[in-house]
Amino acid sequence: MTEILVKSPGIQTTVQDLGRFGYQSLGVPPSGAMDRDALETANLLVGNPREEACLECVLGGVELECGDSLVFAVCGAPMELRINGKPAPGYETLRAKTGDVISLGMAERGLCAYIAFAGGLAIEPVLKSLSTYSRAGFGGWCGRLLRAGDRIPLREGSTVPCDAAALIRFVPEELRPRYSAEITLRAIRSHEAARFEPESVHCFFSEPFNVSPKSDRMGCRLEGARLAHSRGADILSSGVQTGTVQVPGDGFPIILRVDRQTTGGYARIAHVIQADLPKLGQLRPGDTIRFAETTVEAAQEAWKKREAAIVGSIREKTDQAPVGGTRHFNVIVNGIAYDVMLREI
Amino acid sequence: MAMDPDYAVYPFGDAALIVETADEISESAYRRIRGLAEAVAKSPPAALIELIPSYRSLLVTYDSLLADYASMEGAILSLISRVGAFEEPAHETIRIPVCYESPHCLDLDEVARHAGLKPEEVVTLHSANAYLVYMLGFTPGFPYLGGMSERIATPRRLSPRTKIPAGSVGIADRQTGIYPMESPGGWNIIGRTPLSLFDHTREPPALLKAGQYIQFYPIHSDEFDRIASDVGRGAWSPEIETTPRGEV
Repeated sequence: MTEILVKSPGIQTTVQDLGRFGYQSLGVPPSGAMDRDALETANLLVGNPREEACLECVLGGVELECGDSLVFAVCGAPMELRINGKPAPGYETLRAKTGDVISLGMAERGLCAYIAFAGGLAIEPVLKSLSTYSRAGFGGWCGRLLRAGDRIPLREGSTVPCDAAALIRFVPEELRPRYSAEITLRAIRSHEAARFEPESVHCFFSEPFNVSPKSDRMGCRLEGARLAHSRGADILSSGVQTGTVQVPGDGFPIILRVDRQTTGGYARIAHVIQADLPKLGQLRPGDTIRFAETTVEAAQEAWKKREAAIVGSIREKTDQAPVGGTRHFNVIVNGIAYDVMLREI
Repeated sequence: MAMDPDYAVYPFGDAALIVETADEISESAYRRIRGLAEAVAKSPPAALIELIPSYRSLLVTYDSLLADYASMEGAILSLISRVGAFEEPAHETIRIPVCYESPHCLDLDEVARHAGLKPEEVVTLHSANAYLVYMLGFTPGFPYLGGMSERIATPRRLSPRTKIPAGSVGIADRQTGIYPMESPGGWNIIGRTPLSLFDHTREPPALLKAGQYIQFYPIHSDEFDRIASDVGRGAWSPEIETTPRGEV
């Protein structure tokens, strides 16, 4: 069986897909990729279904050894990607051979990178999802962060198909996301905004906030102006969504991320829109954000556009063999398949 | 926002809406939310993803590529207009063994001191009546219970413990609850159940569900150990008493 040997797990690497839904009424958080745009793009680049599970690498520092030849792609926060020490491009279909070492440096900007392997990971789902929820110790790889020495199996058929010419896909530079230390998140005012002083609601939608070092996959804690409640911070515990901005008694907002609890007891001031959740997932301590108020209608429109944009960003290199590059052909002779590589000289 | 004498509907971001009823912890608010949740589950709109009921609200999440807010709100309002009184299923009471003895009763003396009672009186009050499971949330399988005697209400500990064992039974103000997994927490721990409240390898994974009642009963520590080992082998399940509807 093809497998990936984890030589260095980096800061925090987990298996994630698009999340675990259907169990929130039992208190099970959705988990899943912090940046689903990057996860879906990486999957499309290797020909997987968009929702296939990937490795989510937070801040980087990862080293993996390939147990077989395989096809993979890396998207998300820019980390120095190398194969056997040689720089390799992100946002592009890549091939690696048996024994090759794929490494990611530390993220220069942003937080999470996603490694998709063609064929996907051969891991059993827990409660219908491959996402890791490490707090409760289930999902993904043994319910925990990857460790050095782990051997992650890939599905049967993950070894490299040889028609590589048809396999090279990429996202052009101008269509890749930019990760900046200063961003704007679009947000919809909550029906509980009336539980805050009007000046505080105004302040929320106009002042900058800094991402606190106490942020994690559960929540992005903000520092900056203290928001004042008009009727107390506590509400009867009630359902929340990823992107919900809740404000505890200390007045500092917390934007809920994928490992959030399913219900919360603090008044909600706003909700970050679905289309901007990937940006939320990529925020790192010290980044500055502002909130721009938008409407439900505009947000739903933005989500539709995003759907089309993800698929539309993928290009294929089939008809343009790179100068001085190589092309692979799948040749069958007497019923035996051969990988024929042609190198331009 | 749309109004009904009993329910109000609001957008909750761009992929959910929330239905709210009276802002209180009460069995009547609970029944309205449960009634609506049952009605939505029975005839789910095509775009529905999940229902997350709580004390006084129902969060309805949906796929906004399949339905926009207006059509989702319309579907929910139409269900609201047709929802009858919640037909409560037969009333289930799950009997939960709790060891209120050392080493499991970390804060029992403190709760007793605060209430001006003897520790054994706290245990009697805590295990006297059944508690309604209003909702599950906070962590997988954590039950929000209603109905604890106010005489044993105790404020949260000033400094939360970093590690509370799974199964610990605690009191925080007027609430009582059970920690499904080892976690930090500031509740006053008065005992521990050997039962496993959440096990992702089980179907359903949660021991309890909203709408059930639980009845604690005291056990000694040797019994705790015996049940814990049986639970570990999958050879123990709690007694469930079923009372037909209307006889509660």
